[in-house]
Amino acid sequence: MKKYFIYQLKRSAIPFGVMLFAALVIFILPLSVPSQWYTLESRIITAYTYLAIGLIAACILMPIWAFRYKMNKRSADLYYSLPIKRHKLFFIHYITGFISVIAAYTIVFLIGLAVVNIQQASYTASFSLINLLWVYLTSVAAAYAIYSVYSFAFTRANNYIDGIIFMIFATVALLVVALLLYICAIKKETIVYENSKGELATRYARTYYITPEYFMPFSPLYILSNHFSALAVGKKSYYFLPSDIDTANLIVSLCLYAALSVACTVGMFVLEKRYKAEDCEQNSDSIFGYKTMIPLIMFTMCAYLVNEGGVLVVAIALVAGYFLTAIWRRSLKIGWKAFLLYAVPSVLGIAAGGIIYLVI
Amino acid sequence: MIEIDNLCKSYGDKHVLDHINLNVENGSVLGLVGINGAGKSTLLRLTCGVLKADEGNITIDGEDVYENEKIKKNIFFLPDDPYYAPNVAGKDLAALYRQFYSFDGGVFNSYLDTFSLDAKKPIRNFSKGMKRQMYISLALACKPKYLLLDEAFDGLDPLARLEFKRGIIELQEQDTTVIIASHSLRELEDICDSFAILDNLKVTSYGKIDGALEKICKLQVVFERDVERQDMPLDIVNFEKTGRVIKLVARGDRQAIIAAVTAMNPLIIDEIPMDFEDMFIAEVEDKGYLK
Repeated sequence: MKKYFIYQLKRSAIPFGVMLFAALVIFILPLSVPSQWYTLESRIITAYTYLAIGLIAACILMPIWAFRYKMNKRSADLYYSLPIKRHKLFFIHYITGFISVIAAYTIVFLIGLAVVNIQQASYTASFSLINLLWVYLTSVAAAYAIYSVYSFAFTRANNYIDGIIFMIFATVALLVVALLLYICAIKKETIVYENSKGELATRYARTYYITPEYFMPFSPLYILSNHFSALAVGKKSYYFLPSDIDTANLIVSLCLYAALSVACTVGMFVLEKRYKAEDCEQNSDSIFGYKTMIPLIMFTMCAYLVNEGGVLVVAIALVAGYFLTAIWRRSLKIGWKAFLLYAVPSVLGIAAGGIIYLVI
Repeated sequence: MIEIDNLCKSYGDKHVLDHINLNVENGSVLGLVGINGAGKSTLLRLTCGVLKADEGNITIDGEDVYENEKIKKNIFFLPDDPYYAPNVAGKDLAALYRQFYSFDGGVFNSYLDTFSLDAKKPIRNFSKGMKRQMYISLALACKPKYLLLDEAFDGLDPLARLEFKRGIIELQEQDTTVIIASHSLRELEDICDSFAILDNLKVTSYGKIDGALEKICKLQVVFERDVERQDMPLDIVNFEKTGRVIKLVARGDRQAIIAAVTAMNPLIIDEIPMDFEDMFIAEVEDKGYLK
């Protein structure tokens, strides 16, 4: 196992090199080139935000490279015939993928730290190196969460197309639930005021308790990176603590994704033992894929769009849902079971959306 | 020794193998034959641990194969369409196999020279035959105790086939057990000492090739009268009749078969030599696969 681990680590040199080059371009260059239009503080915040985006992209794309051996019958023949247990093979590909991402990130981060340290020496702004270290630590932790969630999603599939679609599902799974809660969990207030004519009038104010955009897998990394890099240069972060509601949403999101990353890591290894090589390149029927996500998405999106989009948007969502089901079944003739899986939640979602509209 | 005991395998609702029982002695070269879709590749994949059996088991040297690293170190599986990543060269695959097998670089280079292949060039640029030659070089260099080959001769030119057969014989002399699934029955007859025919989910026939050919006889007979299959007191595998000329393949002792046919007073009786391919074709024709 050790020999193969070192071998796979060496093979990861190519994606490592690509990530390193890309990160240097998007992070170091803007950071180190002086600009008369942007202050050093804004360049630091922007550069670390770009680096966070790069790290997010790497954590999403790396599982596709690391686990490509599972998506092709011919490669499955090769790798599963090798004298190595499947869970060890899986673990080595998993961990070397993550190491490549973090190694590239760490190198670029350290170079950036040196550049920032040199540049800020000429400034008297309240620069805090400790907060940049917090950027690094929180980013690595959040990156692991993203990597494990997307690795789990990709490896539930039996082929590349389904794998990428499952990763899209992973992106929106909690977001769609949050969207539904967003329209449910509101406080409506009727405000009476005097208008310009001196007459009493009423208007409605709504307080929303859910911040849906915080519930995507990469939101915690993006927000934390932005927050601590802003603190590092003595600025206030746009995201953190603008309101108690947003803070509460962020904390819930952080806890949720921390739990999810542990669950995904454990789940991957448990489920890998049950994986059948003959399923490679077949339709993906995992419970963590189309079977769950199509009903969930159709229900929540129909309920949400009835309130926030209107008839036309709901119709578009229904058509999109049908084509998604067709992609799953690899045919426009989706069959009765798949049709029910798509249609019943859609109808229930429209009904629920109507009830929410009337009640709330 | 490879022991296959009551092996069953299905892909969903489709049964592929049903209670397969087969033993492959150490040092033997077994030819695994069957019509398309008979389950040859599935059996090889089960034997090397790529697939898991639904029922039954496969043991090698007394140990279960599936997820057994120790046993799988002795097994090399070469599928009919081996995998290579887009920019991978032979040396890259050699580096992979080195992590797991006792890879002999000298043997590898020797076969590369024989086949005139460059291990540094991407495999994607090779012809079909050259790819096969590269993988055969890798397989032989790994010096496995058990070598499983699926359609090994496919794409090889006659000289390459000869070199390959020599390589197999050399391995056999080192007590390597080889299982080759192939449709090239004439090639199999050259190197295999035993065979197994897969048909209708089961192993319908297996044993030593020489022994099997001794128990089967092909005759061309001409009768004055009209003779049908049921008129002949023989265990007939295949019966073709064109007018009064009958070509038949029968199981049993050769002398006894000839004596039985002679007793029916034919005008002409000729024995036609049979090879392994003839035997296989007779078996499958009898079952109606070839019309």
